[in-house]
Amino acid sequence: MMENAAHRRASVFLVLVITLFVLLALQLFNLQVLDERYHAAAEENVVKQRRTEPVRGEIYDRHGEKIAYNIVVYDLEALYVAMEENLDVEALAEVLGMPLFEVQERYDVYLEGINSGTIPKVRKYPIIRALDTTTSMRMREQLLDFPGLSLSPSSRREYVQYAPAHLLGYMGEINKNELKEYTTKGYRMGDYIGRGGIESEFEYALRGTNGEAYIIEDVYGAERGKYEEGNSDIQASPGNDLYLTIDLVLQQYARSLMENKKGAVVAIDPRSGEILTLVSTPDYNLSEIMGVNRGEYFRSISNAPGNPFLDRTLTGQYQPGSTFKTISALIALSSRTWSRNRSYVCQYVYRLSGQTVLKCSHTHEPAQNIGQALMHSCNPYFWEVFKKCVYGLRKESYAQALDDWGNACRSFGLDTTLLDIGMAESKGNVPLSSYYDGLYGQKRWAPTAMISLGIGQGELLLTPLQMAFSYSIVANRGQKVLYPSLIRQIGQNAQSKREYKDVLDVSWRDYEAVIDGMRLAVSSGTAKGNSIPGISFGGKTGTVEKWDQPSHSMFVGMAPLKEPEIVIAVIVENGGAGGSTAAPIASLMAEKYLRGSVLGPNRKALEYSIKIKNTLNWDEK
Amino acid sequence: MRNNSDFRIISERPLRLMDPALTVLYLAISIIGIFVIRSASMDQEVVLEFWEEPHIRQIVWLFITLVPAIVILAMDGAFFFKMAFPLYVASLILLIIVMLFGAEINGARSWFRFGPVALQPSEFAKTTTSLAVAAVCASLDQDVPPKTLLRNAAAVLFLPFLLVVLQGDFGSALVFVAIGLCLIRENIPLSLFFMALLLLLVSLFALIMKAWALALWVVGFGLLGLLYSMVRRVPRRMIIMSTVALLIWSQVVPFAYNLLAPHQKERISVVLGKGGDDWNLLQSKIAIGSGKWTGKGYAKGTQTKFDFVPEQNTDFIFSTVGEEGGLLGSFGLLILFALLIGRIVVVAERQRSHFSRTYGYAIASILLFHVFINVGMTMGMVPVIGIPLPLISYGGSSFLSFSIMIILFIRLDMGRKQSLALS
Ligand SMILES: [Zn+2]
Repeated sequence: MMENAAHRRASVFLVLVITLFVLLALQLFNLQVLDERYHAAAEENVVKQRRTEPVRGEIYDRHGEKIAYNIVVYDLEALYVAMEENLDVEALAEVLGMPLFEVQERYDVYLEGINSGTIPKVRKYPIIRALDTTTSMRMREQLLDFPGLSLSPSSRREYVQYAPAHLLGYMGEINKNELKEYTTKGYRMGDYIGRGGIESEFEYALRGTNGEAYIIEDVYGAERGKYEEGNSDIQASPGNDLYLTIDLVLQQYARSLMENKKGAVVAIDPRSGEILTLVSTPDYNLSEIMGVNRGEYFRSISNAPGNPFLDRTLTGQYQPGSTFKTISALIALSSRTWSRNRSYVCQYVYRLSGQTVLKCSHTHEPAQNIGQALMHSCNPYFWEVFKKCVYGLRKESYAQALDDWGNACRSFGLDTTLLDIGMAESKGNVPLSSYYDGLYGQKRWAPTAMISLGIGQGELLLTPLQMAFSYSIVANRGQKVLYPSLIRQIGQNAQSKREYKDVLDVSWRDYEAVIDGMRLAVSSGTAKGNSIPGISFGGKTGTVEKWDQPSHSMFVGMAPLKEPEIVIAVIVENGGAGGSTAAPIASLMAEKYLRGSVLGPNRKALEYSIKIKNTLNWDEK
Repeated sequence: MRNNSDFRIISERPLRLMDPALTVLYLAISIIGIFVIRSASMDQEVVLEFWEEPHIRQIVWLFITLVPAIVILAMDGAFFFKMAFPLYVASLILLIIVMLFGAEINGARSWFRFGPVALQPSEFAKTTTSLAVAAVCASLDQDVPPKTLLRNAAAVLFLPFLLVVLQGDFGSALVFVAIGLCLIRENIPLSLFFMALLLLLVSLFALIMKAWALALWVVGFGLLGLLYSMVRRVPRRMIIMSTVALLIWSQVVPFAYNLLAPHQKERISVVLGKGGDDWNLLQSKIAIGSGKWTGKGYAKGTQTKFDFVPEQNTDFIFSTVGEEGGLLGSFGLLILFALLIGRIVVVAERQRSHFSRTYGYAIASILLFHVFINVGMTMGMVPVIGIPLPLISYGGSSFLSFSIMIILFIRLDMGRKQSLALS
């Protein structure tokens, strides 16, 4: 009885197993033998899922002006099964206006892919991408001579003239290594991704999401219509538009002034921390780097003098020279080792232990206060300021004094990166005692080692962005300082600003004294001749001497002085004295930004003389 | 009832004691799996390094499986009976930990990641839960009321089911319900068991399927039941009443579901994996259908290539078998699976230990559920529930756990043979 019951239960289970398998077998038989619909579908007109490309987000400036946008271009596609045995590469190169070797190379890569099976023979495959409208029109007329080739519309980035190349970055075809990382995110071979700059940092935000289109194809991969009239297609969702803090008009103006010059320009609105301009020259043309002859252009840029791929605004590190005297003054005033009305008689030469260590660059009236010292950029005055500041505090040691001074420098945003969006950015350098300990041995170094720090030379290094930001703190009189920012809005989302809190404790009157010095420098000091009629403009020059080449010309200025709306840092390598090249550029930019244009014959003449100035070929002079 | 001599350490030539049919079937299916994965993964638009090719990785997993296999074969069979509950509890704890600290893949927080390797505790919980159910059945006296047995077994199954549902992996959770099929062999009224299971299935399917389609299924089963009652003495009135009850229930559930707030509905339909898969399904059906009698030949499928269907080598791998192997190949593979499950039942029946027998039935139930749901899903017979085809679908975690599940049963069976040899 027991055995019998057990037997029955085992049978029930086996019957269940058999039933389910028979059900599967029946459906298999149905699909594979009985139901003709599915055979036909697979043999002739196959429904295929095709990825549809999202429209990449565009990049705008602070006023909604387009900087980077999308244009229609054409990809030249090859369908292997429809092609003749030997493609006339020579004729094709001629029609395309491309070098023969380049067309040959791409054709070879395509054939290699066909032979190794990585490129399907029955599917169209782009062999040359992004042909511009004129080339594609020429090609279209000749298509009959090249069976198997066709043109398919696609899109490419295009840029306004003088677009900030380093800031934006460009688009490049994804490579094998990147593909491994990006495959899971919906990328595949042949896709373009951002390279460097904003295009790369905000790749995912800009790209958007792939869509799916269902189309009916024949065995050759030719499209025969849409599946269900496209009703089941999933639309690609476009990428987010990006709004930069850049002011395109000012950006283009600054770039035009920097023509034939090597250097950097950074402009910031000190009230918001928003970066208005980032110019780094020499640069490259974004449209050409993505054009048909990109290979050739890329090679020529890589070999060009002055390293056009280097972004001098964020990664260039410079000795700030005399532009640093402003900061040096504020640190001393804050530490109460110097007062704003203290005079010091300049001997033109500064001796230390019998040796001449500093010279004043020119003769001038004795400085009665710190403003006048700034106006004349008096080296001995500021060496005295620095000495009093670092040694006058009766610190336990030089080392302690120097470290305190260095930390005060840091409160101006030095020796650190400032942006929070992951762009390549250098941190500059403010040497501490540990640096000299390493150089000379612990307690084995004298104050002479750091003598040049007080006047912005020696081991002190700043990026142009840091120069502009430190002056933004001054422009704001230390109040409500915001970190520099580059992105205003991503899609619909406004980006929040970060408050900068480490500001040094400086009195309002001290700030005014220093700013007055900057006013004097422009009206009658080292930057004389660069004042803007009707706008109060001030700043500090810097002339960093190079032993084997012309000096670097530097200037950091702001306007209007009462409540600055713009701070501009300019560096022109080998540009000579600060007042001769950098100061005019900052002055012209300030007027352009605040007034909309440069007014008056004198100013027009200044603009013209700067535009034609060439500081690149100093070797020949 | 339990015979302790079943669990003796195997001292000599243990490999000889392995059931040859089971071992050969297991290996055959695994090796076929590697070939199918290779073919299904040939995507011409994705470039992979040698060691990243899915079939190479699967081969590596086959070798990794040797380690637990040797350990299991070397262990005392009695160990698994003694350790059934500790192992079960340990796997429950793992299920909780993975919910808190696991990696999220495809919306389910059910994976542990160790560098390139990802393991899914719910896969291994299937084996430990089978052990625990077997231990529950074996430890109860023959004459306890069926209610007690049912209650205890249901409790053992419910805990992992709940945890896996909470992880967001509804498909895998259903497998724990399916383990309950092994209770068919236990001393409980079959009708009760069927009724409970049907009620559960109807409620679940009511949320996934169209109401009229489910009604057809219910009526169909009702008619089958009536047919059965002609052969055996089963009260016809009971069958009719239960069919009507299930029919009403199948219409009430979607109605109740529609009363829910939209966001609640959305949550449920995400858990059930509803929506958006019609495309995969159509492609899968076309692929299988186009295989016809003999298929297009190995690696020559066109339908399952060129496309960008992410589950091509995992959940929808059977469509590649159908396209390239045709009716011949598909039948072949299904017959291998049927033989594997059948052999497990036969071997289970010859066990003297109640524990080993029930474990055999439990894993037979798991395999049956996986194969039926997975293959049925690729042919549009059942809703798309994302569970792998045992030993065939690409994925180390799934392969390893199915291997352990089967090898463990082979080990339990070896104990029986040895005791025969000794007596
Ligand atoms: Zn002087």
